[in-house]
Amino acid sequence: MSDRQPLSGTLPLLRLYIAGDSPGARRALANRKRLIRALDGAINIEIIDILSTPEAAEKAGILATPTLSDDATDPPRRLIGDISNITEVLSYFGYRRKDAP
Amino acid sequence: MNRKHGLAEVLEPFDDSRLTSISQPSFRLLIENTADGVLVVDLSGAVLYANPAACGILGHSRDKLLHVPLGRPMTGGETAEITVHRPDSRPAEVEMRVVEVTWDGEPALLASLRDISARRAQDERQRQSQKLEAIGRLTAGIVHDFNNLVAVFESGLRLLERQLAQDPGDPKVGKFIEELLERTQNGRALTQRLLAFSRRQTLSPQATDLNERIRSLSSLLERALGSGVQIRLELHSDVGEVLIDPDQLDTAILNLAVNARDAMAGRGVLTIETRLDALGDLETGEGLNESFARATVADTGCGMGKEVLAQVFEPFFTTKGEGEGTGLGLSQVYGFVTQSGGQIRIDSNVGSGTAVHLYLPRIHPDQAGPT
Ligand SMILES: Nc1ncnc2c1ncn2[C@@H]1O[C@H](COP(=O)(O)OP(=O)(O)OP(=O)(O)O)[C@@H](O)[C@H]1O
Ligand SMILES: [Mg+2]
Repeated sequence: MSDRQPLSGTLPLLRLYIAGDSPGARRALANRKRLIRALDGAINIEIIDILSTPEAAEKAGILATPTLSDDATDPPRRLIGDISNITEVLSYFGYRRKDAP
Repeated sequence: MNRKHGLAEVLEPFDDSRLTSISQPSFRLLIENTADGVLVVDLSGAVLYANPAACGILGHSRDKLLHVPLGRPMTGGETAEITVHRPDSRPAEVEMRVVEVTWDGEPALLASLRDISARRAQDERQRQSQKLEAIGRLTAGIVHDFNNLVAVFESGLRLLERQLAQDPGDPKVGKFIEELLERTQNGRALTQRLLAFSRRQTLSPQATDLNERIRSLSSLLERALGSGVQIRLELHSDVGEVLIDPDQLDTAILNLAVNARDAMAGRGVLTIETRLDALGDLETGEGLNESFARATVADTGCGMGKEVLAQVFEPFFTTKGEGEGTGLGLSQVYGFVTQSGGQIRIDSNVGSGTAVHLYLPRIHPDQAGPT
């Protein structure tokens, strides 16, 4: 699997769709931090709370949360459910851990 | 891959000789009719198959599901919990399990989905009612002691009063005593409200025409709510009579109406609806689907978030300023309704108003006593 290179200047972007302040959302947010740490900060994971911006979720066709999505690909590449397995999550999106796995 | 739920575990049952006799169409029928949602998703997250239950849980037709990029389902352990956002209905809490399978010769994932929203809501209600039960017991204990204390004061004051009558001294003393006696009445009134919450007040349940009672309150409500609030009554005649203490019902409706007024800052629509309704949930298993007379007081006010909702029935819980709310309104409503054998539910979201539903015990025509 080839490592993806950050686009010149801008960090690659994933979106994390969550709903409000549920325990599931909190767990997803904690895992988001772990993902960013595992890539040494070389990724941007935008948080989208679909309760406060339902249109955004509607437009992206998000059926359930938490969903981690790479909306830049067509069709978007997505994971749904629990994203605590950092290595597997990153490799699914084509990244490799930068901290020692 | 060294996973707990590997391919082998899923395929194993098919090797069972007893199962080989079951035809493919039978398996299909089973899957199509099982209550759990079943999804088959390819490794890139596209849906390959969805059974009718999955379509129901996700709120979309099979056609739609086959065309949305749902994503690859993942669980950390045995299960993962996801929240499903369906068009035009509440979000559902869904438990998801994932196993690896082969589908048309390709590796794929089978996700089974179970809607656990009802169970969750039920657990939450149970926790709430246990908490309120405990506070109720505590309250009742304090009320008991407090009442004794007030009684001691009161009899002391009466004694003084009598003595003073025989030996009139300073006329101001008589005034003081009168005033203090009034205060003891305030003390009793407070304990009465607390007793209402702890479901130990003395109720005088009577066969009461629910609609009639609400109608006769409406002029009082109009005055209490002010001209900025429009009152709508939607009273269905089939609710008939309920077995409740009518005075407490008045107090409850008034408490709800005042809350609505505050939430609407004096401007909006207050709707009182009555209807026959079943409490469609598990509760204690008993009385399932028993029909209640539901009285709903709904407003177009500010609504409440989950944290507030979780505490509204607690005595002295208020978000209002000093001197504006004592936090005993909903405690009275809660105590009265549950002590009467009914139930209370609140639907509310921040910014989208509040509906308080009182489920009141009906008198069925065949069990009505002599009139
Ligand atoms: N219709 C409503 N809309 C929004 N919030 C409400 C509504 N009804 C109750 N609440 C919230 O619940 C809290 C508790 O209500 P409750 O009626 O028990 O006490 P209160 O109104 O604050 O005081 P009191 O009724 O004793 O004057 C309120 O302070 C308010 O935050
Ligand atoms: Mg109140």
